[in-house]
Order: sequence, then C-alpha cells, then structure tokens
Amino acid sequence: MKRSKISGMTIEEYRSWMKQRMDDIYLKNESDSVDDIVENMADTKLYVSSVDKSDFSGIAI
Amino acid sequence: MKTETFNVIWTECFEKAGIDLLNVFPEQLREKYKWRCDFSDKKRDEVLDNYTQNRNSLRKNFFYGQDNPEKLIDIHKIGACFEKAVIDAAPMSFIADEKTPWIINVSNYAAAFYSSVNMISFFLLAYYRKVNMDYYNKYKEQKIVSYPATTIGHDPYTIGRIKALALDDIMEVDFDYLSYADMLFWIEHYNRQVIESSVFVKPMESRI
Repeated sequence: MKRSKISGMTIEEYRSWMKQRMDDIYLKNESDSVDDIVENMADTKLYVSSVDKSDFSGIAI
Repeated sequence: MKTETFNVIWTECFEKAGIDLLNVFPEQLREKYKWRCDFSDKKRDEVLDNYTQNRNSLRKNFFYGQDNPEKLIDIHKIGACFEKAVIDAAPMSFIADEKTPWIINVSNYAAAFYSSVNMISFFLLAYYRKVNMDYYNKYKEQKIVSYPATTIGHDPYTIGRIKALALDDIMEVDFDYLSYADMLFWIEHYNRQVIESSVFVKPMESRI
C-alpha cells in the first residue's frame, strides 16, 4: 500500500488519525436564530425575485 | 427552526420561486406539458422532513458542539439543506416526452436553486432592515437578484448552476452541502457589492 509522507501513514491511516482530532477542524457556528430573524420580518415580504427572465431568453422552446 | 419559521420560508422562498419559474414561459406552453408545481401542505411537510434530516446530518458531521442547541448554523448552510430537500421532494411535475423542453426537464433543480437563493435574499433584506434602510429600499426596488455575468459562449450563471445540480444528481455525485453554502455566500456577497457600491467611502488619508 502506498505510504504518504505524513509519518509514513497511508491515506486511510491519516484519515483515521485526523478523525481523533476533529475538534480542530469542525466549523464554528455562532449564527443568529433564524426564528428571531423571520419573526422580525413577519410584517414584510420577499420583494426580490431570484428568477431573472432574461436568462431564459436564449432557450429554444 | 420552528414550524412557523419554516412555513414563512416555504411561502416567501419556495412558493415564490415556483410561481416565478412557471411564469417564465407562457401559459400555452405550461399547459402543453402540464407543467405544475406542488404547493400542497403534504409537499411542504415532505420538504420539511427532508430538510430536518439534512440539517441534522450536516450538524453532526461538520460542526463543533453539535449537541449544544445554542450553536446555530448559518443561513447559507440552511439554504443548502433546504435546496437538497427540494430536489429530493421533486415538487415540479410535467409530461416527459422527447419534445419536452430541457428547461422543464430540469425544473426541479431550478426550483431548488431559486428557492435557496430566495432564502439568502430574504435574510439579506432582514439584515438591511436592521442595519440600513437605504440599502433595504434599494434592494427592494431592484426587484431581481443580481448574478455575475459570464463570458460569451457560456451559460448564464443561473442556468449553469441549475445544470450543475442536475448533472451531479443524475450522475449520483453526493450533494456537497458546504460548497453549495459557499456558492450562496458569494451570491449574497455579490448582491451586497451591487447594492452598496454607491456608498461613499471615506478617503484613506482621513482614516489613518
């Protein structure tokens, strides 16, 4: 089996080794509550559309 | 996420995306292929179930302190989970035959993409409403999300993204939540640049 340059570990051994150190690479998550955000938007709407019709103008139908 | 919150997202983001997508083409064409979007409560519940599973899996696999409910994932990750939930629920229906336009054939991916972008848009409006009403009003008046231009010979940005979603799903490539969330971040950032570009910036010499 091919050995990497990481202390002679195989890539599988390296992955296993890293799984013991996940706290270092877990993503941070300290976001605001979506419940609070949506509650504050209760009296308003989404006024903006994600669909740009011009993107479809060249499509043969 | 509370059920009430999900219901707002369903209405403002998913239903709006579905309606706007269907309205891209004339009624005659929609009728010819019986092209519909399922806005029923049953479909909403299916998407919610899918979303909850996706989100729990994402939290478990990628986030620090996943057992702490105070640690909340950001809207871009939530958008990615919602997008995959819509793909798996396949809310768009149509007659599939040899003559069906390809854009109708990929419309479940389109609905999923536009729904997730609507989520980003909704939360950007909420952010502007909190911090800057000028930007809020400017975004409202803009009416359409801005996307980066592509060069001649390439698909428009949105069409390219929809095709990419379709290709990955058809070829059974695992959905990459983190990369999709990153795409949503950049779409949001691009729109912030468009909206905020006319802002007066203090000359550097006055700041140092």
